[in-house]
Amino acid sequence: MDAELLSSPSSLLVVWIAALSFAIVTAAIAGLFPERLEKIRTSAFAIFAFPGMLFALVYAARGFGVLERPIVHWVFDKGAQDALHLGLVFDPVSFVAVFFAGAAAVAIAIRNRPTIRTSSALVLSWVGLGLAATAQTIWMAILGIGIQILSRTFPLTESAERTAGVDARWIASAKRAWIGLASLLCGGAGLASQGIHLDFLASTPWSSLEATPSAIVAGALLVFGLLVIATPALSSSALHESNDRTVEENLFVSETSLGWIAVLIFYRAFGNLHEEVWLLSVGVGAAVSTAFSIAALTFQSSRTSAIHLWLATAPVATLVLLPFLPAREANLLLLGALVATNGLWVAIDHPRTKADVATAAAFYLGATGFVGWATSAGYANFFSRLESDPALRIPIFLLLLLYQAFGWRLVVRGGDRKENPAPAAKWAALGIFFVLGFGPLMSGRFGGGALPGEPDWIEGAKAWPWIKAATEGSETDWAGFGLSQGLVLVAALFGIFAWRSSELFPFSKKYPGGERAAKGLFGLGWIQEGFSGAFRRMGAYWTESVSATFWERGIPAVGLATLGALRKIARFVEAAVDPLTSEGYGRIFTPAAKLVQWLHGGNVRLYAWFALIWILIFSIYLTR
Amino acid sequence: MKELIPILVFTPALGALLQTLNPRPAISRTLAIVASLVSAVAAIALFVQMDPGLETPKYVVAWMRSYSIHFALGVDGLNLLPMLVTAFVFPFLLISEWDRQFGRRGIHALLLLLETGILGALCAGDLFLLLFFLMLTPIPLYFLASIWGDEGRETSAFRMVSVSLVASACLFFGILLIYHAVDPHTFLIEDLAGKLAGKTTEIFGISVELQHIAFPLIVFGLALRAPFWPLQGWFRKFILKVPTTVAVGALLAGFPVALTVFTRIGFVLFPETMKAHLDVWIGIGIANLVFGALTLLQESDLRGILVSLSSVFAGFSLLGIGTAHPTGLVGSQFILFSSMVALAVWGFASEILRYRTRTYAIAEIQGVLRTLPDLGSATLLSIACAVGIPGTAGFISFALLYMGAFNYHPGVVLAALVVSLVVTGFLIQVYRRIFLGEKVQERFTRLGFRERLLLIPLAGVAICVGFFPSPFVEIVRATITKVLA
Repeated sequence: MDAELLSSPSSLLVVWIAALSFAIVTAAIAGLFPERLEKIRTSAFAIFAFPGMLFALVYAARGFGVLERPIVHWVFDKGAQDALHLGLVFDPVSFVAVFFAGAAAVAIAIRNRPTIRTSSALVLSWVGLGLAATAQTIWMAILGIGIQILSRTFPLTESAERTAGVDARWIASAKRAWIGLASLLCGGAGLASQGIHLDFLASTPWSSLEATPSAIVAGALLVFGLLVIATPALSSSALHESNDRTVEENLFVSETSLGWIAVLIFYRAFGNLHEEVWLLSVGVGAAVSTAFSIAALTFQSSRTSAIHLWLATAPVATLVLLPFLPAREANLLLLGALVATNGLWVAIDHPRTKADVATAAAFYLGATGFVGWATSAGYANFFSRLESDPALRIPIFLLLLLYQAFGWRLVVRGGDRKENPAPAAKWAALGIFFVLGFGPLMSGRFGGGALPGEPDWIEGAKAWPWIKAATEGSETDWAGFGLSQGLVLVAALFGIFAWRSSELFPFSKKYPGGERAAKGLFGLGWIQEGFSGAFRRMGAYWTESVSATFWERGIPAVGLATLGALRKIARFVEAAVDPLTSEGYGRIFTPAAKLVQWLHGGNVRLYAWFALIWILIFSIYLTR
Repeated sequence: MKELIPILVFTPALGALLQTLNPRPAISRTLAIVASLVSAVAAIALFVQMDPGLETPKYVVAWMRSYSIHFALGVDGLNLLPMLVTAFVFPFLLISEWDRQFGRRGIHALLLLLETGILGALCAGDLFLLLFFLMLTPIPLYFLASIWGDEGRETSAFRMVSVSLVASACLFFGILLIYHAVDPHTFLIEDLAGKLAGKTTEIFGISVELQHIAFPLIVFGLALRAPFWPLQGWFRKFILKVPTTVAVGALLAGFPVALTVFTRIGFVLFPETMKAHLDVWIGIGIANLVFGALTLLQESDLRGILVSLSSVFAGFSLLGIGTAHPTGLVGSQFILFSSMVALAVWGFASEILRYRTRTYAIAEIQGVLRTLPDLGSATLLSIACAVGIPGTAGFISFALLYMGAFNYHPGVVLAALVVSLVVTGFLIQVYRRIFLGEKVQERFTRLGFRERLLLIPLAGVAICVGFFPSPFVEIVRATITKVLA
């Protein structure tokens, strides 16, 4: 092995791309030719993703330094204003996103024993997340989204081969992803056309964009697209379909990856998003998305489905706070949330022993910003500024309270699963999470590259809210600390006492109309059933009534009338001038009359036969 | 390198001739495939040897010297992508007709003749030669439709020929006006460039500026040939009567050729007029998008989807042309490429389905994916390419198109986005109905080797170009920058 390859940070990323390529190729082969590889379906994810996971571990062992490769042009010259760029960066955020999502997926794959095609889809989904997490430009991240969407081909094929109707889940999620992607593509292209490339590490600020209609439309489309991608509630109708819970879990692992991709793109672009109005729109948009998710959660009848939706909503719930935080708190919030929610995927849906509940509770506290987790820095910072902007922060407080209350209820009650098929895999994965995730986050070890300008873990730890409040001692710091911790505690109490019925969420039974409405609304059913019908009728009207009438009857009628009028005029003129000219002058109008016949269609065959007779002979010879 | 161009254009015609002369039917289809493959290899060789910084290859010899008519063929950024996709798709069209029982030699010969017509029209650098090839294409299409079409084929074929004759007449009239307007007279596009500004011609003693009479005539002729809304009624009826193989050939002879010729004549011969009427091109483009999307939503036939989608893609491509921006124009060219790859896969998939179900009706086919997963995956990839999923050629097309369109007006992008979403929603719905849906008892025959051959390479091309578009982009952009300058 070339020693320089592993010693040069820039060259090391070539290994990362090779690992992703290996995963793509092996997953594609397994998905296309599943028969012979079905035997390794349980371990397929671990095998295909192994080089990538190994790379992440090597990266961690090297001390979390940032690996970066210079941006290259993908389409057009690098210097061109509207060039599309590709670039790679591997930093602690990339590590956390790649490694912990991969570790959770390995555990889930061992637990659920998905078919080889679904395993391949999970690998491609992870590759998509990996590309987006290590993207240095928005186009690289969009490629990740593309791979994510294409990955759904395999489970779609899989489910269609086995049972009818289960494809609704994958179709719902694919539709949502495409709407978001199309909007994101338009927005990204609009910004690129104005020289704003959203190269994540570049210094081109978003604020340099002039407030032109193009800029506003492009920015709005970009933000809207990312928010749609980050909102799994829009495909929550899938949760109402009768289905195999493990298939549903596989789908929502994929949905969560898509959500994290959107959040990662937002996070990477924050360096360029200096305009407050854009940041505000991202935060408020994420809050609205979270509210949608809560509305969809309310009408879930299955605990497992509710767990899947709650976990898939975690990225967008994190995004509610992210735009309002300073760099280091944002960094810690994102890292902590990635570790905690991935751990929760592994821990939550199991038989309810005390150890299970305790483990799930620990990760739940991490996901919701409880003291001791890196996420608490972000929560405390956000609520420490309550006085400055109460109209924004109080509704968000209430929204997160409700979301977290749902979560606590789910942690306490657990899912519907009756058995834990692979306890060893679960505990091994959770052990890795504690060692490589919880430990470094607690100690601030990710500060080696994660906290800008603070390489020392003691310095990094100053971001923890209680240390910050103690050292800086301001009232607002203490208030933020108290509010953020109060949020979790009140949510926990609310979650326990508010719904004490045996049913986790009784609303779907009490209000079946509400369930139907939620299913239709969030499955984009209104597009299918309402608008699509109207469009279809409009299309039929256009082709059958407007177009056919115009072409088949209108034009010939107008032509006929015009030529008829001309003929009448001609006869009149002929009659008038006949004494002055030779007889039969009116024959010059014969072509017009013939044209009338042509428009009627009467003699068209005759003319065409004359024109094409030699070719007919040719044809008869050929086909004799 | 320039010697490759006549090989590219005329090898298929030679193959057609060999179909008639060859006394051994057993090797006739091999000869047909070989002829088409030689053309495809020539196309790839031309592409590989082209360099954005160097002169583009041209093959020019005098044809009718006294009338200054040249046998001029050339390949540059304005026709590279349609040329490549045509040369690449036609061998697969021949393969799809490999097992035809009735008149296989005839259909192969006519498809090869059609290929020559399309490639010649795309590469023509002389207006007379262009007209020659444009008038050639309806002839094989007429026989392909009238012999191998469905019930009512003759009417549709005659309608197509009639419309093509009207279109050719308009084009011929416009070209003759151009020819006579410059002194010395010439049909060579290269020689005519920059010489038509302010030129006038006399019609019935009235002096008319060339840009007000010749250009509209040519545009109308091309719009009729493409065909663009509202002139597309005949085309829909034609496609609904022919096998999908012929439909794909007809589509290749339609909007890709018309838009390539339009771009060349517009920006090279009438640049001022072209740029002064950008709103018109954009307007027609949006009309095509809207109309195509609306008609798509009521389609009940697999071939009908081809027609409506082609209308939508023609609209997208015209939007790119209408931006008169290098990026938009490159996007427009890419749309021609990616859309034809997607439409070809869709067409082959339709034919494979019809072979098993005996119908093109969407409502009568369901649950296909359970027994034909390969077909389902390839069709899904073609949809992905058509709607622009990242990682496919369609993504590059739409990204560049939107970038160019943003420079024109963001409203254009919003309109395109809405249409794109409607089209995607419909395609997903159709896919779900055909490939998923309720389980059916019938188990279809698995795909054979040749059927896989029709799908996999094209799907592979869509992905390869999606990830590595740069070589194509650079050549197209170099020519477009030069032309716009």
